[in-house]
Amino acid sequence: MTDAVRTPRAQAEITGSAGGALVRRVGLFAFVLMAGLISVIVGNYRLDPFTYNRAALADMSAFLAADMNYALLDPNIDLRALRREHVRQMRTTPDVVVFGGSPWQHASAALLPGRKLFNAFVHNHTYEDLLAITELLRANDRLPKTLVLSVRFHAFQQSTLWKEWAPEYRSMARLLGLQDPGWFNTFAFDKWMNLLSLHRAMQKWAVYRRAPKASGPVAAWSDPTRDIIGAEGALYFSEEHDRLDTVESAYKSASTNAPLERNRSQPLDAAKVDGLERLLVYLKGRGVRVILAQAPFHPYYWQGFSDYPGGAYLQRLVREVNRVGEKLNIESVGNLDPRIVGCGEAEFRDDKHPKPSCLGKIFASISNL
Amino acid sequence: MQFNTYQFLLVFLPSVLVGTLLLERGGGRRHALLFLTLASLLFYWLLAGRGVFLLVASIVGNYAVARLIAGARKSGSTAGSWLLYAAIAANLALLGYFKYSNFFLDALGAALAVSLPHLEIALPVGISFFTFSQIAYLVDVYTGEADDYGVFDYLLFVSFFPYVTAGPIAYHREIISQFRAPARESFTDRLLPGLALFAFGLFKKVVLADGIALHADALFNGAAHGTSFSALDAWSGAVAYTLQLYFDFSGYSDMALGIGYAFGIRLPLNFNSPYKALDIADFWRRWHMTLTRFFTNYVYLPLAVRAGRGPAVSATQRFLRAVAGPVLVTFLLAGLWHGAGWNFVVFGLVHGIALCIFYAWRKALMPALPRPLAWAATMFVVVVGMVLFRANDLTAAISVLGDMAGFGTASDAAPSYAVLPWIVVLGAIVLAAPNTQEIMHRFSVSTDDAADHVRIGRFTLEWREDTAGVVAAAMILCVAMLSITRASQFLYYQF
Repeated sequence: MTDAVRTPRAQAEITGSAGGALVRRVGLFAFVLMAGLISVIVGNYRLDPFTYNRAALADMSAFLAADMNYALLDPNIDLRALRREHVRQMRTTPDVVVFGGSPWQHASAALLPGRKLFNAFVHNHTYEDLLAITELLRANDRLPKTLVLSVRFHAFQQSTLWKEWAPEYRSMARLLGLQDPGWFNTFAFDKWMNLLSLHRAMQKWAVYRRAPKASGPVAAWSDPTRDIIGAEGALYFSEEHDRLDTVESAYKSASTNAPLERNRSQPLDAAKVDGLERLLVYLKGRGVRVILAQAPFHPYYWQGFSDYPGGAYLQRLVREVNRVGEKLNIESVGNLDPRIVGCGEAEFRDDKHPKPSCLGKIFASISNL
Repeated sequence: MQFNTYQFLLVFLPSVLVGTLLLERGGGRRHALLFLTLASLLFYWLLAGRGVFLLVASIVGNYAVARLIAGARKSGSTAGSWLLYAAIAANLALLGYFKYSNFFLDALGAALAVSLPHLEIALPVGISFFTFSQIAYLVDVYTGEADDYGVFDYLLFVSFFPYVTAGPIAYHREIISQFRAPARESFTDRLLPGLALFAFGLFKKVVLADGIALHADALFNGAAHGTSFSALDAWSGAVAYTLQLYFDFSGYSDMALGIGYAFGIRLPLNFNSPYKALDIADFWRRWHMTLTRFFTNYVYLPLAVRAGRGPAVSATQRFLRAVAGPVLVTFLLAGLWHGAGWNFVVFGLVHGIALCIFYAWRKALMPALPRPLAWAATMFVVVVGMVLFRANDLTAAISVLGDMAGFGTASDAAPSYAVLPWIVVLGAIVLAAPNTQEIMHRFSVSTDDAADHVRIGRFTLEWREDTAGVVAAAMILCVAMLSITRASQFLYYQF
């Protein structure tokens, strides 16, 4: 490259005569930009305490640990962060822990009378979450007698949601002799970068503004407008929310989504299958009875999905997980096919979320629970 | 790491800007350009991982061959032409391997009625762009239109991070000459206009293009899965994609120009209000202008000149040989350049045929269409082309085109009422508002002629570097940054 000849103007800048203008204009630009960014960061933080504010999560968990329920303006909270605080504050070890994705969100204590249930469901759970929840329970000395695990949709997909549990995942990975991906690869950048989302801040503000009541502890299991996280960790929709979920809306959801999703397929990650096997071996070694469970789909969704690549992928995944289970003499219950479980159309909120009555049939099929 | 990620916006770009400023002040422009070269390679590595080795190998290989061609030319040897053909073939073979292997396997399998397995090939991002810019360089070296450049000049020219991944496809002579000349403006004078232009581009991408993308996706994803749509829904989705692609790609190009300007390197324009075009030839002079320029100079003109040399024939034959033939071949190749699929082949053919019809119409001295009708006819071809461009495959494209023709049945998967407000607003912007370079006309932000200002009523929409302009640019950048909910890939990265 050749050395540039400096123009008089560039030379003037170098000697500093234009420095003041640079500082003033760039300073103004940076000030306006930063003011806007910081306003939205603060707004998101304040409007979404159950995602970002550990003190708020600890406060909520204290009520859950004291067998109180908690009503929320908006159930879109960081469930993983909540589970961490909840498990830390638990006063007794649960008899049964259910861990899966949102299809298990309504698995409530009422389905297991006389037993202490902890429903640790999180949204879009992945393989990494399975290791992390185990570590969370282990580290707090809360490993139950029975652990109902669901391995499904997102289990072997790439995701960043699980990174909230990165410390737990990395710790369990080391315990199982798996590779520790390190801090940088597991830090929850996406979660914290969401603080910069204007759309999110506006959504939260809209919810906050129209909410007739604030979030807070309740003794009841239902509320006209607020969804409730039960003391056992399950989700109870508000009466308003319940009214929106009809048989017709579930059918519409099933018939719309099946064609859109039925061709999504991917190869199974052999390393993750191996990691799952190590986890199951570890749990058995700790005396935990593991049950591999599958919640069914809406009948119309399954009808339009099962014979396509997406359905084939899911069935292959379940077969592979059950094969590992059989090898270790682990029980499998439930099925992706609602007919086999015995769940009808009316027992679904939408294409993928069974109602408690349907989940109850799966629990009923578990021997000596 | 793309332009619309926080890593780029909060870490990479500020670091490289500050580094450049310090080096320009301390060691002069040469050090700053060396720093930019390293930053460009880092950028590509963060985006493409090991693909950076392919980029560097391609640059070093082409540079070495160019020196040999230049040497042969000076000595009057005929080896230069062989070297040129071999180098072009090697570049196209590399591009073909990464981009078209599976397409050819599919075509071969279909011909032989067997299913051939796909190769596991990761397409290096931007390979179509940096391959073409280097082919142009080789040809120019051969014809004596390129100077002897230093290897670091050439390295930065090909790998310069604002355009390495998705263009504009710059010519060596318009870029490297700027490395050698003093910067036309001081860092102070070019920083804020560059950032303002970048802000406009980011806003176009993350607010406008990503905003309307959901609606376009609903149509095309539905069609890919066999869903049928009413004509209104299909047209709405197709127009939505037409707008999405414009705001996405022109937004990217604005960002590239803005970054280039901030570093004191002007880039060529890529868009000039293409949806205001009144004929299809005008559209291609305004859409992806640097690609059109490349195909015109290095494919169409050589073909047309060669075809025109033949014996005297009738006017119709001459038209077919010297115009229609080269146009169709050029657009067929341009279609294939965009993607390895039959839908891209048909996309190229549709535009090629439309262009032939337009030239034939003009040659036959037929009366010009009234402006609204000319615009509607042009946009009809453009929207039909966009359906072929966006659809997952030819079957899905035919399905959407059939729906647009009224053969579909209504579905609520892509309702038109949801997208119509977007179409109205974005349509008004592309048709009535000045484009970015017109708004920035005071700063001559590209290598092309400066755009003039545009008046709307009594108002002149232009950006000035005063308090109001700086605050407005910062606010636009702020809103754009706050609208990045997830890093959606630029549509032209796939090419």
